[in-house]
Amino acid sequence: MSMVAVEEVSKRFGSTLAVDNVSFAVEPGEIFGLLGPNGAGKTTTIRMILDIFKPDRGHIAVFGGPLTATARQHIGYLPEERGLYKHMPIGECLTYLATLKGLSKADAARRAAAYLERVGLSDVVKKKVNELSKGMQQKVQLGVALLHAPDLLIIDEPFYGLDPVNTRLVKEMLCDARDRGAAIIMSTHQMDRVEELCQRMCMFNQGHVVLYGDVSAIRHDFAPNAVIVAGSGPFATLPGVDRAEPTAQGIELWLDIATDPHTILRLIATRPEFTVDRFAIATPSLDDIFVAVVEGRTRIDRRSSVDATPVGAHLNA
Amino acid sequence: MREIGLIAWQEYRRHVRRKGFIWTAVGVPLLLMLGGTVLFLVLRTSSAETRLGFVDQAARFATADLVQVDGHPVAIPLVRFADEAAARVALATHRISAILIVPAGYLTSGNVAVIAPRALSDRAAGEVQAILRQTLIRTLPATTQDALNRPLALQLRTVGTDRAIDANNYLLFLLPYLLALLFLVTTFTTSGYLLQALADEKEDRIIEILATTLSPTQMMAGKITGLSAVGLTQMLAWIAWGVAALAVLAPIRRLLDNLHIPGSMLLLTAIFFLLGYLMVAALYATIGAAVTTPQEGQQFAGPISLIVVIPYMLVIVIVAQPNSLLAVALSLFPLTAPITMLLRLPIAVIPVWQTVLSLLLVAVTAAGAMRLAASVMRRGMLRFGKRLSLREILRAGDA
Repeated sequence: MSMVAVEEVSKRFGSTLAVDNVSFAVEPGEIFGLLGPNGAGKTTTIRMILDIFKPDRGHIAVFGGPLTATARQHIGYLPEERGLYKHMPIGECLTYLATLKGLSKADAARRAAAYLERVGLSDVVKKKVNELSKGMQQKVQLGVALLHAPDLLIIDEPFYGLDPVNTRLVKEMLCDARDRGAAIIMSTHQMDRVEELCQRMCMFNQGHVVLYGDVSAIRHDFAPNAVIVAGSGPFATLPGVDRAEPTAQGIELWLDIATDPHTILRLIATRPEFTVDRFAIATPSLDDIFVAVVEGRTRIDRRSSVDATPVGAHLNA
Repeated sequence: MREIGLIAWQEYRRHVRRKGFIWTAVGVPLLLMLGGTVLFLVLRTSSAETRLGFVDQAARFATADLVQVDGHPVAIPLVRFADEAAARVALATHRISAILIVPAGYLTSGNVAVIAPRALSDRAAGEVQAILRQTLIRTLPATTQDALNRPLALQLRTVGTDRAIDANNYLLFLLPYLLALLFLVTTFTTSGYLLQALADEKEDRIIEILATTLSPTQMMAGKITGLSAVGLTQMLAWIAWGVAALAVLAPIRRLLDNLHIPGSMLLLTAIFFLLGYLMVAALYATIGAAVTTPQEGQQFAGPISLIVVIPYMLVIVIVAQPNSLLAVALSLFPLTAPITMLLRLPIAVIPVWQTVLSLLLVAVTAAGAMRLAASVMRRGMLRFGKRLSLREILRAGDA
């Protein structure tokens, strides 16, 4: 059973079609990325999943059915518009909001103390929210979403305002939640975070889903016919190489349509004038893929990043 | 239900700890009592005749006539003097507070001279008048004496019923004012808290998190329950102050003993009070959910408050003629009905159809307002920085 199943959902605000015929499913134990620019329809979709907005058309199932009062208690949410009781001490704020999620007061207080300890805020437990820095507030906000160990966690830009140390801490907590079987929907503009954390993703543009599927498979499907090599030798003169461009990782070799990366690898390996420290098939970043999709292309024809494992993916548009 | 209870308790704790609440529940009554006590003491001091000198130049009054009035000992003793000079000596040495001189031609003129450092108090003048009257009429038949003592004993009865109203019990006529005042203060204070709480939550952006846990109806029910408890606490605090005041003010206690209000009327009063509160609270909540800041909310709540208060501004007209066309019309308009009915109920017998229709209209409006508030909350809770238009509020049920 999918944790969330969105089927052919549409939502209109006045004359604006915010979400148009969107479908996807999120499974237990995965971090699922919702990608797209501002106004693409990500937040509206999240709010429909959470039953804040009603879809005009289509159907949404959470934990296999409609969102009941009991089901709500198993959801954690970090909204785009951050919100906390600004004049309440953070310990009290976390405890109160966790009791609303079904925890007893004692359990909520215990978990709040443990969480604040983990994120390094135990010494400011009595401080009010508005007395904290932006990064601290962000950690408290995330605590509101995580404290009751939800089965479904929906987070909108979870790394916003965090330094590298806290970014790593938050990643660890998200991975912990995933590893205990929670489904995580992560909405973000930061495509590199999706590449790093998400197994599957759904890319929105102007209310439509333009890409949906396994992140690796999508990157493979959009891969240009190119390899990146680091080493020495006249790589640009190899047969089948259209052009060579230097990159931070080495030289990117763009191949003609009749040549595949394995042919190039065999050639390099058999010729003594080449020494190779590194060889990789070039795969595009999600940024590149998004631009390509928006422009109506099905492959990347310019410089791309490295690293990919070919798997199948689905192109929805 | 658990969530509603949690919200209610949170709201209750949050508001009863506010300085504004503590001031309203404790400070204001204390200040009023202190002010009343000071006023009472000033009045008492300024009119504190201890003993009065009495010079009877008309030779009409015996000493025995001066010690009792209506069968009770006099409150301010009269000390008889043989002449004005002796009385003046007593006045100069402060043994008496004033001198009353009944001149020889008193029976034809009715004049009595007073020599005193300041005007005779109403209390002293009333007692002396009673003493003189009882002495003058004592030779008449008893029935005539009674008639002369109480020439106009009004027996007030409500139209169409036998319910007698004690015209001498001032508290009965004060009761509508007090009830309406209690309603106004309690309702607007707690509704103001509700508006503030909702607008604060929108401003703090917390409402989207709450919305993922609770339905708008649960949120609204929790807040209204919690804030009703705040209002109740405030009322109880005032009642406690009232009881404390009664413990020391015997005259008011006597008026209360004689105050007979039917249980059905008390029940109706409570129902109108509650429904009126819910109606106003829900309307305030609707505004709180639609606006962007508490300040903006107060601005929009103003016109509603003004309409609700109209009967209180017309209180003299309504109390003077509790069954007039104006009073009936205001009783049948939901926003003005609660206060109008609170004003009319203690002093008039209202036709059953009016009471039922008024209750029904207020109940329907309260239910509609609650529903509207929940719908507006659903639609308006995520509109940060931009308030809902009136058209959007009215269409909120479609969200």
